Amino acid sequence: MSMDTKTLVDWVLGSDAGFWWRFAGVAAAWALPITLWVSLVGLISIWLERKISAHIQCRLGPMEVGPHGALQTIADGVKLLAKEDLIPDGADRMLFALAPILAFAGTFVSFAVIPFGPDLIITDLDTGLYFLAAIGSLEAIGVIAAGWASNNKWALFGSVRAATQVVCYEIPMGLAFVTVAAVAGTLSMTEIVEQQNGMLWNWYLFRNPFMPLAFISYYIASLAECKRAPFDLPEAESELVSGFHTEYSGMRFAIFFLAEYAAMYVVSALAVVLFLGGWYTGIAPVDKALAASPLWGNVVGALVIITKSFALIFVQMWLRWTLPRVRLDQMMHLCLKVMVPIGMFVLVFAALWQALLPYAGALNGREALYPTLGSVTGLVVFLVLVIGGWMWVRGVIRATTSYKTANYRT
Amino acid sequence: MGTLSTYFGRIHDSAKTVVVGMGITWRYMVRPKEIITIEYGSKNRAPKERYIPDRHRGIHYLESEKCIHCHICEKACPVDCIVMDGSREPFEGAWQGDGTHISKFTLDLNKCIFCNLCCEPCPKDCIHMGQEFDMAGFTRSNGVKNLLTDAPWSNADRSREAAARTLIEAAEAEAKARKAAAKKPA
Repeated sequence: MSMDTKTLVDWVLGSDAGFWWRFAGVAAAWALPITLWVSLVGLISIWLERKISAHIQCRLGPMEVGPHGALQTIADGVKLLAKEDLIPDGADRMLFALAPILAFAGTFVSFAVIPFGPDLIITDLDTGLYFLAAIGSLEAIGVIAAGWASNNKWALFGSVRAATQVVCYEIPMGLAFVTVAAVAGTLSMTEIVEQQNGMLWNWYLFRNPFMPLAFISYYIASLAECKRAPFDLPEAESELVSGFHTEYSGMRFAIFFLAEYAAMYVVSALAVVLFLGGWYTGIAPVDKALAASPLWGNVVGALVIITKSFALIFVQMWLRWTLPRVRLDQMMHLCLKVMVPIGMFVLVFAALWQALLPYAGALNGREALYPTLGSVTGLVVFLVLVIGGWMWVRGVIRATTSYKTANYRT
Repeated sequence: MGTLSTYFGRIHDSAKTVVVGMGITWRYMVRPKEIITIEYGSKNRAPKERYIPDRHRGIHYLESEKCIHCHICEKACPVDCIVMDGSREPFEGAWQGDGTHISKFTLDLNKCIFCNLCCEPCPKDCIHMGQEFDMAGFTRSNGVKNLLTDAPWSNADRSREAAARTLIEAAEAEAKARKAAAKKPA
């Protein structure tokens, strides 16, 4: 079951076949499953998005193709395949063709370091987190290129906004990364996850009282990274036609679309790896039993990590259909003047906590069963945030909105 | 308010409004009863009375047992889409009207403008605009509707129409003869 990339590459390079055959071998071994997974994530999350938005807006959403419209995305994909692939007259033809590929490649390459299970990771880079932070911006390059190459003022506005946005969200996101790196002492994705072994309170989300803030900060920045509402400024369909992909049609548009939904999975999976215990269920005996069997450890681990990621994707969609789009200056204010100070505060105090109260739990099996001071305070902060927030929200909703259903014709 | 309290106050307000908004959308999302979309063509579609207004002008329906075959609707129709035939005299295969016998009552939906002008002058109030709105068909002849059977006017109907015409003429001639015979002795 173990998937060692180095062995595979050595095997491929050591074979007698020509370069292109070896290249095709590597591509088939890694790129093909990831391509399939990206398409599957796209199919599922586009359908989920349509159903969730529909139910929030008292609609049904797609119902005709497949059970509850589950195959609607496939039908749409076939339609997009059959559509004419237009290139505007004044467009920069080469850049126009390159842009969707760049945008897709950015998210696609991210999958190289996103783990699916203890052994299900294409390449466990020692600098995995750094690699992700670097490669995550490649999508923005594709978006900027798309807007520029389109020779369309709306598309250009969209790409300029994307450029502004990438400058803004990268900083709080980087600070959240650095916080996790400071606590974990490593940038390797699998090691970060393995340190969260044990019970629920060993997850980095609860590691110390500042981590919940780091998580929220990362999550908001990740919304901006994959251009989701309320940060969908580069698309802004009510302001900029459809932003950077105004001039795109057919399969090129579909690639942008797929890249967006794949990016949603990537940032959610990263949040799961960094904060939510990766492939661990959070129940130490279960994890221990699973770790004994490589097969079940990987299969269940993959299911766990995918479930957690989709839960976060669900929250992204829920947020999208709740909030209006923020203005560009509001986005900059939030990212640079609110989240950067918070990120700094979290980084400094998490580092201090780590230095003064070093955590001894996770890697030591026996102790991992018991919460430490850090986990207890972290858990308390998290519960106060969640429960307090919930009770307060219920009070606010009851007090401020007379919640009545509209009087529909019955 | 100082600068600092404004700053934190705004963060507080933003967080609050986001969470309140998400609470409201959550409440709608988890309540399937709130869904107001009515699916077209679904098997479990709600009854038409639920979503079609009373005054909707859909495909006509005829209460043929009340019809006196007076041709008023046919004359009122601005696009001549109603065609009817029948007689006071009984004949084979006729629909029983109110003292009349009807062999044909068709409505060409290809022509109809749903103006309601046929229903207004009807002395017996027997033709109505219905609630049916599914008018799509594969051929033009599907649009010609037989209001006596609520089915499209078929080839069988067409051949029966000609047969009915001869039957009507025979029945009326016979009745005339009967009347003439009845008059003679008097």
